[in-house]
Amino acid sequence: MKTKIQELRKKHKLSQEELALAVGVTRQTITSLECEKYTASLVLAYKIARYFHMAIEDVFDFSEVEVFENGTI
Amino acid sequence: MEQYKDKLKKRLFFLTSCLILYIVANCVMYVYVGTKGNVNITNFIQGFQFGIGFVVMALFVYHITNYVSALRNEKKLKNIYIEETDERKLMIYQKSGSAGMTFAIGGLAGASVLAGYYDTTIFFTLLGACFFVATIRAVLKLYYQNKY
Repeated sequence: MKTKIQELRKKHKLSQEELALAVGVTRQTITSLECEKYTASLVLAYKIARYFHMAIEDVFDFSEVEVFENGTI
Repeated sequence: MEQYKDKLKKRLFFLTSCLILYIVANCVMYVYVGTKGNVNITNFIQGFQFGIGFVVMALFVYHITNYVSALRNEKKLKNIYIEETDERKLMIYQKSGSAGMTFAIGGLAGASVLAGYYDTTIFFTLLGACFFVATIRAVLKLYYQNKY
């Protein structure tokens, strides 16, 4: 999943380690999120969004997520 | 974090008890086998037992010292907490554990079929191990289905 974590982190002059410590995960998790290799859980997404004082959908890009509409995907 | 501290203290107690029990059990077995036992134990098995015993004890001591120092140092405590609760790490453990069990069952089943052509004892041993792993998997699956 695409995210704006790297962009926001650079804007706030934060290292991956600092962000990881602030939201309670390892640095590798932040790296994986930024590289789009791992999708954050709802709780982690909430923590990251709250850390940057933003809404979840402003940090994480849900446009490519397949959703059911009228019974079809 | 206080809850996690309590959890670590309980773990510390459990690990220390296990370590003491393990040392006592090993000493008793060593004395029993060495003096009264009529078990024909080879040097290889003794070496293996010693090696495994040493590794287990080293792991216990490592975790005990790690937990003791974490309980005295807030920064280390937080690091251990993060390492243990990191969702990506947990997902990796779960996925590798699940896939590992599937491969183990498949490997044991395949090996038991092959062993059946050569030796009955090996066949039944592998079959038993296969059923044991499969049973554990089934029980865990049922447990987690009820839990979540």
